[in-house]
Amino acid sequence: MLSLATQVHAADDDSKPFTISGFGTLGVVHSNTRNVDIVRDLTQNDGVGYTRQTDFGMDSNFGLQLNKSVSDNIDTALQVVSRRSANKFQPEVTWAYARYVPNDNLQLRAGRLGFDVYLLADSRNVGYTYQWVRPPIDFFGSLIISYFDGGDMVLSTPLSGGILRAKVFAGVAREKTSTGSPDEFLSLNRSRLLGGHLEYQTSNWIYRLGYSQLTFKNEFPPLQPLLDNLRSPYLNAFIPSAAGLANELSLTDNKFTYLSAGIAYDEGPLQAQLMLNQLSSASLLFPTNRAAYLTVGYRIDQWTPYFTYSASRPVNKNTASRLPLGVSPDIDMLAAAFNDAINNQYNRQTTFSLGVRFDLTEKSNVKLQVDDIKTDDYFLVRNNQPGWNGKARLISIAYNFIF
Amino acid sequence: MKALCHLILCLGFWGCCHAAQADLVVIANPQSGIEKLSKDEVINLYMGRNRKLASGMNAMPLDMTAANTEKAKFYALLVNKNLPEINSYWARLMFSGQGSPPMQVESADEVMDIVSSNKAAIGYIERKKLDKRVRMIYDPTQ
Repeated sequence: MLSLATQVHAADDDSKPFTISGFGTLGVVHSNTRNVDIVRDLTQNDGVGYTRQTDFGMDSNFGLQLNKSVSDNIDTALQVVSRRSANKFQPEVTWAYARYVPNDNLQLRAGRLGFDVYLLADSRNVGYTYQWVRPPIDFFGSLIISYFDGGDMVLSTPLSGGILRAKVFAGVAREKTSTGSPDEFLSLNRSRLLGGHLEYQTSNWIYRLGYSQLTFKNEFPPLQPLLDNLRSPYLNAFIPSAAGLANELSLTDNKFTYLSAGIAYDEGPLQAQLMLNQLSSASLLFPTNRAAYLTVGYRIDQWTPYFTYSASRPVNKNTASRLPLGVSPDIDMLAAAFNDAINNQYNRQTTFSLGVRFDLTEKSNVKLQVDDIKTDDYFLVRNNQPGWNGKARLISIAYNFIF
Repeated sequence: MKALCHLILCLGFWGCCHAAQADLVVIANPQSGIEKLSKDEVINLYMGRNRKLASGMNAMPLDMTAANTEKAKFYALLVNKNLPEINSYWARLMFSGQGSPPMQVESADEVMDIVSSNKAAIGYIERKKLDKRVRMIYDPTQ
């Protein structure tokens, strides 16, 4: 091993080897109900409760990263993560990019990049880096994209004691997500993504406003039979608007929009965050939904107790039947299916979480968290059984490390 | 927030809110072109928010390994955070492709050697280790 002093004097960085680093979480979560599966996010098809009352897979993951510096201003990285998602625990390449930072005002990256739709969204696999056992489900659970293939650009400038950043990104999604049925997936492959945000950071505050949009390339499989029916010549002979309705309901070529605002305060031992988002879509299938969370944690020596309150709410809930009823039983059934499809996408859920993080060593911590979840709609949960009262209490312990 | 902090203290938790006492200073190479840095500038360099020095060169902040007690004191003084929090901060940036932490060196002697022989290097050492090979650019007591 070269001494560091010698490395510093090396005229070029080609002599620098790869650095290998990584992160992982070993988590266990227990639910007080067997009538529903709570999932970390919608890419997971099953979770804790119905499928297994004590679950080691919901939060557990492992990631490896290779970094190589090419020159003073160019570096590259590759990250592979294994976690429970639509592909079970099959390792996936989550980052693979080259980065060019010519000066403090500009950063360009190209390749496979994390989806930086909200503060913390592109590091949510790295449990070691945040207070909670998992990012608040009501807010992050509907996020079905972790990465995309494309590029991004960040412009920064000092502004009255802080730093103002503007970021834009564009690319195509590659992942697939669970739909709730064991062997049906929504493929996001080749769906176009673009977005950006404005961020202002001072020594203690970060403010961010973001906008992203996703244009679906592929259809939502559970919807296909209904769409086929709506587009059938037979039905359109009776109801000329039916095919048009199918297009309004369909995901393909329809846009999905994320608006977000976040404020984070970080001063010594105190950390607090308030985030808001609004998800809307051009498809009738996804009604506009808003979510928010507030979290506060305070470190006392090695202990950081924290609480989080998070909620998700549909903006308005009136599924007006767009099909004339009473024409025929077939059409009535179709109208019911149409309304069901939309009703399943409402998302009204509230969670209160209390937890504590304990810094075990410099590079590992243990967290204990209790979540009280109250659901009125079933968008963020899986396998809900008849008779479930919409409540679940989770107790989680997670060991997180980096190396 | 100070009131809350005070309240927590009164409730019988100790060890919060007072920065560790340490006589650390930040140093640079006499030829670096840097006379003085403000606290915010030091924070920006050490927390990876800026890299460029006034001279236009990329700064090379030197950190120490955790085996050195100076490291914990430095971050307590600079941003009132403990080392796990500093590690969390950098892990978030590293694993989301936004840069890597400052280079870590093993000892104060090494900090002095690198800073005195490298125009871009910046380091922190105990005041009593200062000598004329380096220039003090930030003194927390002033």
